[in-house]
Amino acid sequence: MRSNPRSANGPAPCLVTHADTLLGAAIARALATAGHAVRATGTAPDPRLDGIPYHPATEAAAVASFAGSRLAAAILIPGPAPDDPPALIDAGLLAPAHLAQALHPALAAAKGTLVLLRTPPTATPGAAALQSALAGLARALRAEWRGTIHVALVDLDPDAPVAPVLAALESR
Amino acid sequence: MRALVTGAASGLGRALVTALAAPGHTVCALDRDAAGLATLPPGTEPLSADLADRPGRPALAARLAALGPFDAVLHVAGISATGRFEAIDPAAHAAVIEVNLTAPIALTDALLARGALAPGASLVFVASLSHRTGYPGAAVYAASKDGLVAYAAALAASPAARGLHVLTVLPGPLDTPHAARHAPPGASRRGRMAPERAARAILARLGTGGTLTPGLGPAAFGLLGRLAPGLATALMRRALYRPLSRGTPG
Repeated sequence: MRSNPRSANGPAPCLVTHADTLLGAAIARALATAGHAVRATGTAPDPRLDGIPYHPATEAAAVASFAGSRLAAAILIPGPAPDDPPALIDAGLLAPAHLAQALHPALAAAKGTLVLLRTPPTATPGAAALQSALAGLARALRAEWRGTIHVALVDLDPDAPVAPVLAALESR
Repeated sequence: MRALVTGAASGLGRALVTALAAPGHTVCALDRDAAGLATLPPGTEPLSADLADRPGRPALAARLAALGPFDAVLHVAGISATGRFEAIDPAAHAAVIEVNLTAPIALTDALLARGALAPGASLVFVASLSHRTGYPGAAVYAASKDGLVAYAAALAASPAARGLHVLTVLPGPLDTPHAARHAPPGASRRGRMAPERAARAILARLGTGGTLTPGLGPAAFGLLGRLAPGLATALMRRALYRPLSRGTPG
């Protein structure tokens, strides 16, 4: 399994963003249970994280703290989805793009995996746009980072949210 | 006919305005380039505005609605940011998403909500052939255009667009200032379609819906992208990403 490469300082951790959400906390716990070293970010401490190292800050500030380190994976959990299309696109596309940029050095250093998660589509045209935009971003990044960073686009299954993420990390 | 064209001062937008104004249609021409708007043909109504200006958008939407109802709205404005994804200024990525995706969605929603579209009006969204091929070297641009295609398709199927015609355009490389700015250094202009030709193809499809890829060559490459997406993206990587990535620092 290459998603958990070892270095002199131990295994490179997996980062889970928005770990203060139900989904983020569930995925962080599942990764820890599966034996991954896990770091989590979010804007509020969360008792569901069971002692996983946590960085309570804005996502961008927390992610900046990983500059110069190595990450086996970054799992970008979708934040709360506003109804207003511009806010939805900010949260669902622009924010992950900025995080992916900021995390590039740490992921490249460990030949890690970037996991982009998509929530199930709803009927609104704005949400449909977001779904397709994330796919376009993943497709381009997969080609740009070939051989360096693995890029996985995971469609969330509300009935089994954790398994596809674990599978994406194991698939390399 | 009364039309609204964004990105009207240059390239494909300018060609569309020129072709619409020639037979006497009234065209509201929107662009942030006021000097460019001033050189458009007579009969056009220039509207200087920056689609990246989100705080100014409600006022812009009100202005546009007052100029309607429109028989055709053509969302042509687009910007790009090319090079290695990780080396591109995050502010440039934000602007690409705002101009290419957020603005056309917000303006379309506003025009629909204000009843500023005439019955049977055409809504045209200019996306990119990259929707079929992927676009390593312009990852956020590709994302914005893929988002626009999906928005148009979902809008066409929604009750809000009943009676309207929603056309999505997937142009290949055009011989425009935009393309010249974002092509790899030293790239040839050969094979790029004249914007006037693309404009004619688009205007011939007004009043219809669906997807249009102007030109046989781009249509063939688009078909390859549908049949063999991995191969098409690999070809794009070789042709565009490699030379572009040599031009960006880091």
